[in-house]
Amino acid sequence: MSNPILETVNLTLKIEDKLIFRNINLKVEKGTIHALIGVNGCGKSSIASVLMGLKKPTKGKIILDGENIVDLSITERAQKGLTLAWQEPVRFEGLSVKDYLSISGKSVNIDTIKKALESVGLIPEKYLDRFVDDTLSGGERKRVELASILLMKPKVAILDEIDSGVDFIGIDKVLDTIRKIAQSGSVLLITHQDEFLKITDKATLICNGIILRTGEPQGISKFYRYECTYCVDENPDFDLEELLNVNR
Amino acid sequence: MSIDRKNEYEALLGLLEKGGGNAEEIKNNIGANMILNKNEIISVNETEGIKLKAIKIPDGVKASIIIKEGYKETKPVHLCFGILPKEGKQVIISEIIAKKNSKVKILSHCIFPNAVHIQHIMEGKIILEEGAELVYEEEHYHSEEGLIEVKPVQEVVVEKNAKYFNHFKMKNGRAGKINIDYLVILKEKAVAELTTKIGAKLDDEIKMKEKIILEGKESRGLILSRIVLRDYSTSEFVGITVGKGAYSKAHVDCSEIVMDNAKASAIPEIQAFDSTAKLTHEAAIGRIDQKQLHTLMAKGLSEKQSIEYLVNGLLN
Repeated sequence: MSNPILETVNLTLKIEDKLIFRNINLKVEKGTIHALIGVNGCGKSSIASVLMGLKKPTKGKIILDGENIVDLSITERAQKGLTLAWQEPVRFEGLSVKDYLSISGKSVNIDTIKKALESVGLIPEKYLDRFVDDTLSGGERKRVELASILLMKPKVAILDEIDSGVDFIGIDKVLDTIRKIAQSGSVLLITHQDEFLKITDKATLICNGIILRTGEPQGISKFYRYECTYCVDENPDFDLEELLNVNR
Repeated sequence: MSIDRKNEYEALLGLLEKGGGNAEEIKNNIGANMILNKNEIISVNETEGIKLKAIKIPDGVKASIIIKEGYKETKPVHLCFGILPKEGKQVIISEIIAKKNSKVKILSHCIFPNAVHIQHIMEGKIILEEGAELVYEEEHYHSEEGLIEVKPVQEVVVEKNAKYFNHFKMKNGRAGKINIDYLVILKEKAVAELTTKIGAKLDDEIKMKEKIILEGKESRGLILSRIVLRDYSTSEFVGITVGKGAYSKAHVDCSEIVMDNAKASAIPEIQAFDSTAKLTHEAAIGRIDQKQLHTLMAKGLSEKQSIEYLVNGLLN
């Protein structure tokens, strides 16, 4: 039975004359990991930005745990349990890993910070006093960000390509951490990697700003790889509406 | 020590402690230290390897610090310069010589807690002999309301293989009018890093001119400044590097955050007189980075809290 913690209703974003995405009806169920997949530029990160409140949608609703949060600020959304890890983690000059993680929640202390770092495969003694700036690699910053989200215990964490830039050793730790986040909340996972799809419960495929289909992750992945890529890469004039009608 | 001197001594150290400074080391005479109130010499403590001298002059003090050849001190030398009254002028003319292969850190605490109209002028000549290493940290503790004019002027010569690190930091209170003028000359394989971090508000005025001349081959220099301007404060930054020595290398990095009606200008200037010298610069002036702000807000911090967090990170 459907029990969405996060739901969008006809969510649409138009910037000037360009339609970025339209009529997105997405349901992330409680305690699940829901993948959002699609080729570069199809609108995934824009959806994440609108969900978090960085951009205002042209129309539609965003319902978090039964409440429409579309008019709330980023801070208010975060305080209600929604958070986002950006595709490109930000550099913070002068902020140590310890300082950065300490703002992740009221009950955070040095022991929970150490545990969170261990979860993402970073040795606390080596990382606590390092700065969250360009002395950390992109992959390391992503793992610090993931540790921060683990500490926040959000109702819904939107993770935008959290896998990119993380080495093969770190990937397993990242996967485990995503599972841990989903134990106390839900995850909307924007990804391209099959390895990550394996841990998801459901997947939604986006193409040119439209939901193409939602379903069991492996089936969606196959469709994405063998059919969806064709329409964008090989045939930019492909009639998306026609494809949608065929698949309905 | 007379009762007046003792009171001034305790008042200055109390203020230093209140501002987050380490007064314990001075109280317990751990390492060398010198305490001045206006032009009065409150106390001077030397150690085996560090000789301190202070002479009273009409508006201030002439001081010299000599670090013995090969002497390496792990405890910092504390210099505590202050003016306790609301008004006054303090001129410190100093000479610091770090003899061959010595290594020391000098913490200069400049304390003006009641400043309404105060002038604090530091004219320093610093010589680092071959292989010496000196960290010079200048921390300022000002009042919140008053007007203070601070003019740190330094001429530094860094001899072969020596290393000089200068950090200027506003710890508490209003910046007031700060006019920094540093000139550093680097000899062969010498290193210098000048770091300045200042937060300004209301009608504070920050002027900075920092110049590194890389005379020696393979010398290295860095000028790094971080300034945060609020209200209608202003700043003018000029960072100059001159590459004369073969394979010398220097970088100027200036970043300023401008809020409200504040104004900032930054001029990084690089001059190369040797084809193998490599001089680079970057200057960024702008509002708070929106992505940084949004990242912190997505953790539940308000916009105001996020800005404070980012500013503190940048300046501390």
